Amino acid sequence: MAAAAPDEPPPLEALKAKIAASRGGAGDAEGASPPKALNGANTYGYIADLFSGVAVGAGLGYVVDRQVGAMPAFTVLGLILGFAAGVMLIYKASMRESRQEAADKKIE
Amino acid sequence: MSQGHSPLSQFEIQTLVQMPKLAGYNIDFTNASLFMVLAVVSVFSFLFFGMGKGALVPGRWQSMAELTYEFVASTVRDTVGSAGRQYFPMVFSVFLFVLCLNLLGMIPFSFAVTSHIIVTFALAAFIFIGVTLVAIFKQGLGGFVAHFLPSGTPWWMVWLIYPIEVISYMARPCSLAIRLAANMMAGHTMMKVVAGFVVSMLAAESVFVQAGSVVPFVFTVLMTAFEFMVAFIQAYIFTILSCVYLSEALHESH
Repeated sequence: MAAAAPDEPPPLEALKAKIAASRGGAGDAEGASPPKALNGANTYGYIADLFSGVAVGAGLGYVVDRQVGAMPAFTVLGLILGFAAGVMLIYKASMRESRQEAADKKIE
Repeated sequence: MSQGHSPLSQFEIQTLVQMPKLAGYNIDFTNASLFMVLAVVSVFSFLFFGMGKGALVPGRWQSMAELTYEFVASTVRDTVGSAGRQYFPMVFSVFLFVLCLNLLGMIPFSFAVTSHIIVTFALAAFIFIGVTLVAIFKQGLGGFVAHFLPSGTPWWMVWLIYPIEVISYMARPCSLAIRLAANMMAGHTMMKVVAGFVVSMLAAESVFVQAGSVVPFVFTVLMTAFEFMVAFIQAYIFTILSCVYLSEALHESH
């Protein structure tokens, strides 16, 4: 008795689907994408950027103030510029991350 | 009294071997020095014994050593390009050193050297000075000074943009140092605090409170796994940011 041909995809297609499914489930071992993991674990990254910008700006301003003798003026100016520098560091870091994400998506 | 129970007592520097002062500076051999030496010995042993045979079909250790090498090599290749090949030994050493220090800090009763900002700052400053020298050699002093100004900046904005760019450049080592130290310190402190809950709840008189100590215990186990991930990722971030700075120095971006 001839059994009815099962409605299965051709073997090659089935194998492709299997590979795709297993890759999707377990992740690509070779092309493991640490940048994705960075987003969650890099908790203090932006805070560090902002803090260091302000600290370096204020520090430089303080050094200039000590030399020139215009005590709070350059410290305050450095503080403001340092804040801007911190924001710029954050902006650059987030741009870098989004570029990385776009590149990862392209690879996928 | 509560010195040993403080979640911050694990970060205390303790002198192990007293040394004579050098030019007025204290150069005692401390627990931080010990763990840095241990890290160097571990990295050396891992690579030396892993690659000792150099077998065509690698064993477990050799596979791990080769995978580590390939991982850092591909990071350098992807971030810096082929021009970064000559800086690979530096990047590889920094990655393995930071990773090993982070992982050694995960051993109970050990010492997390990378939770000390002075250590991470020394590492970051070393990279910053190196990268700045590379940039000056590659671009020339004029090119280096000019590269702070983004292309297309209107002339009337130069007075504002230039100092901001210079400050953001100088803030890089601080940022690199703070993010590594803060992550390590916060993680280890949290682990000790949560683990402390287990002990204090077990010491309670009520049976219900004692039974409830399972919750912080499970949380401690989960946090330990998370901290292992953080240890690896922070070493990776430190490395990849060093590569990004190196790439900017080599390719005159902006």
